[in-house]
Amino acid sequence: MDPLEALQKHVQRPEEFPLREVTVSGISYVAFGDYAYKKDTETSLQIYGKSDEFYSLESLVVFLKYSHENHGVYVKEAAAAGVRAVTRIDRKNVTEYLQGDRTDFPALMNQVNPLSLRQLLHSSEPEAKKPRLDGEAAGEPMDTSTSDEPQESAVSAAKKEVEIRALNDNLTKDRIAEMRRKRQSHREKGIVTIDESLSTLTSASLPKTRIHKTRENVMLGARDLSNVLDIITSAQRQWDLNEKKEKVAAVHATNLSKDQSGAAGGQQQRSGYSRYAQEAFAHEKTKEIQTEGSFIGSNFSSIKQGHHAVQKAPDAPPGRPPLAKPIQLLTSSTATSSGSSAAQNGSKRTSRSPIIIVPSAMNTMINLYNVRDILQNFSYVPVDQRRKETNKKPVDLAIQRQKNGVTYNIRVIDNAEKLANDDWDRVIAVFVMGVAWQFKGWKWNGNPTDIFTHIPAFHFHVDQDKPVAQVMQWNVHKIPVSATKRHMDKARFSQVWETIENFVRKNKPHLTARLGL
Amino acid sequence: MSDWIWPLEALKTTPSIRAGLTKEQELLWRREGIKLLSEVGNALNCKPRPTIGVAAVYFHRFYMIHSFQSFSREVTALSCLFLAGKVEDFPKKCKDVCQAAVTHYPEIYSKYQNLVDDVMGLERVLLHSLKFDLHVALPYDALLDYKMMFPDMNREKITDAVQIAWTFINDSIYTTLCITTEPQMIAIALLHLAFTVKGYQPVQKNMDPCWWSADVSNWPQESVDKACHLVLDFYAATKEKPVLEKKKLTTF
Repeated sequence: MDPLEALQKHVQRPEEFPLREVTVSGISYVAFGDYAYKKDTETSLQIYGKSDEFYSLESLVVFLKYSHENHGVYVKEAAAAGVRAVTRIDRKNVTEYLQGDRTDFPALMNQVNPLSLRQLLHSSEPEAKKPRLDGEAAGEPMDTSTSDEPQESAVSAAKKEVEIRALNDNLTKDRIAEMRRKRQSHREKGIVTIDESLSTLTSASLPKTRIHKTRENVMLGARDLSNVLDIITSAQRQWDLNEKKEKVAAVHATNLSKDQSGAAGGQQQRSGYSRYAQEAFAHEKTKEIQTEGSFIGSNFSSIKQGHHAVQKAPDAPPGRPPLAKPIQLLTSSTATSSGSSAAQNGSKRTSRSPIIIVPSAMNTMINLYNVRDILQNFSYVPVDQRRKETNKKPVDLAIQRQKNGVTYNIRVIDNAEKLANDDWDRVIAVFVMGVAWQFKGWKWNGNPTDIFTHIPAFHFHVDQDKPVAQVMQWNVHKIPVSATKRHMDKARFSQVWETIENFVRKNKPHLTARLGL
Repeated sequence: MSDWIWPLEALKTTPSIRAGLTKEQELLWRREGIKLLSEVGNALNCKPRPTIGVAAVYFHRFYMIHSFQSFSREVTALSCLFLAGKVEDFPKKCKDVCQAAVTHYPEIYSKYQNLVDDVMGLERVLLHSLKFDLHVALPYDALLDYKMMFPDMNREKITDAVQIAWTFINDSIYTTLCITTEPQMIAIALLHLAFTVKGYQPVQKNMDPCWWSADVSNWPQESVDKACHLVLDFYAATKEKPVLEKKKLTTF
């Protein structure tokens, strides 16, 4: 209930809501019947011109007392009481509210709940004298002739006051007695609660009794066998799985035999065995070897590098464009072909160095082992001697030729099948060993006559012997080499270079700069 | 001819060449027959060792006695495969062989109404031509024996070389190597070719450069190279023109 509303009810029905001022524990209260408020409680009446200030309850009480006086007298009384005076502007508005002409109360921001006067008085018995003093101030004087009589009358008056308050507050003696009985029962309930807690504590702290063996727990035994059922369940699941696998295998074998024997009315085959599917029982010797491979259509370079995937013989797709001429492998006694790496391929693509081809065999007078001694140092060293000194064979060789103080690089190879078609333009010399299969896989279909027409060819032989009969028929420069005398090497090997340079001047002018011509 | 090994000169005067076929055509027709035989065998889950290898040897021997003009190579190929399956204890039903042939090469075999009877009939001619000498030694077994011959080599290297040599032997059935060279020497030559391709050095310090001299005496390096070139020539020829490129037989 709003303080303003309570004040309004007091104005309309003074007998039901009597006005009283009570001080409890140093705090002053204004009571309307059983509804008590603090004196400084703010009401919902707003002061004119100020948005956040309201008239206090005591201010309105004083205004109500002197509402019949003129404004000047009221202001003096309000100042004497120490409360804020209602302004002249708000005078009409406040009067209307108190008389009940207006029923719409402005909403207060914070709701004020009324306190119970009975509870306040009951909780502070030593201060019961205050109401009597207030009664005296109300204009009801009492007889104070003797000092003894006033004390007795005070005590009896207090008792009467209690009874009178009970009667005034609609509380009969029976109701008060009933309330007292209720309080007593509540106290008894509390004691019962304490007893319950004690009993609970006692039962919790009781020692556990020994459990005797009964007919049931004797049968359990000492071991813990709770996981036995789990083990049996998992084993059963495993057995079922194995049985399923065997069934699937049997069905698969049956299907395989059916596929092998064909669909048309084949003879009934026993499960797991087929007379016409004997390949299933593979040979032990060939388990490491992939027996169904083929190199048809594949390249030998992949085999050399070791990245080959042995594939079954593939059917060529129809209309496939013809491939380039295949790379032929040059085979001879203990000859080794080295694989080319990606870097070398890259460098070879951009390289424009002249190329000299030497035999790759060992039983020849010139190969990669001693070509540097012959063409660069102009001294003959046998292959066997150089091979003993060097453990491994040179893979990619480049010799330097000094001419007029400038050094020129010339590449020497022994596997001509690696050359592309446009690389043959850079070949400036060929050293033959005397057999025709040396030129297998070369350009011009490996025909020696055509090769020697385009490239100058040289053949070394011991000067005491005649060259090989095959070489005599070819257009090859025969260079005799002495087995013992080394002083003639420079002249003869210079002759080789002279022939090469004459050939380059006439037939390959794009290489003249590479050789210092 | 002795022990089913013909000299090289015999390849120039085969019955087909004497009947008017050129040397290149006869070689091409042999490859086509082996191609048919090999593809149908693969379809029936036959292995190169021993069924397809033995069938190829039968095919090459048969056409050293008869000409391609007299007996069509497509029917002979199936008969050789059928017979080899029975000889090597990996049998296939004749009905299944013919069904696989019709499935894989419909243009070639659809014109034969009674292919099963033709294959059965030609099998009798084949048996008489081969003089019932049906046992054939293949190079694979010799190759497995040579695997133990190089204890100094790395195990991975020798396994790799044997794998490549095995694949070379698979492809050598397309050539006439099996009727001009003994199987052991084929294994030696193609293992040597595998060493050469991989760049391995099988020869040790105290070993003869011709490591096969202990088994095959007086077999020079040049002969080994000739055998290798036969296989290399086959690779070169089939790289540009695969055998049975459009699943059709070539004619004149």
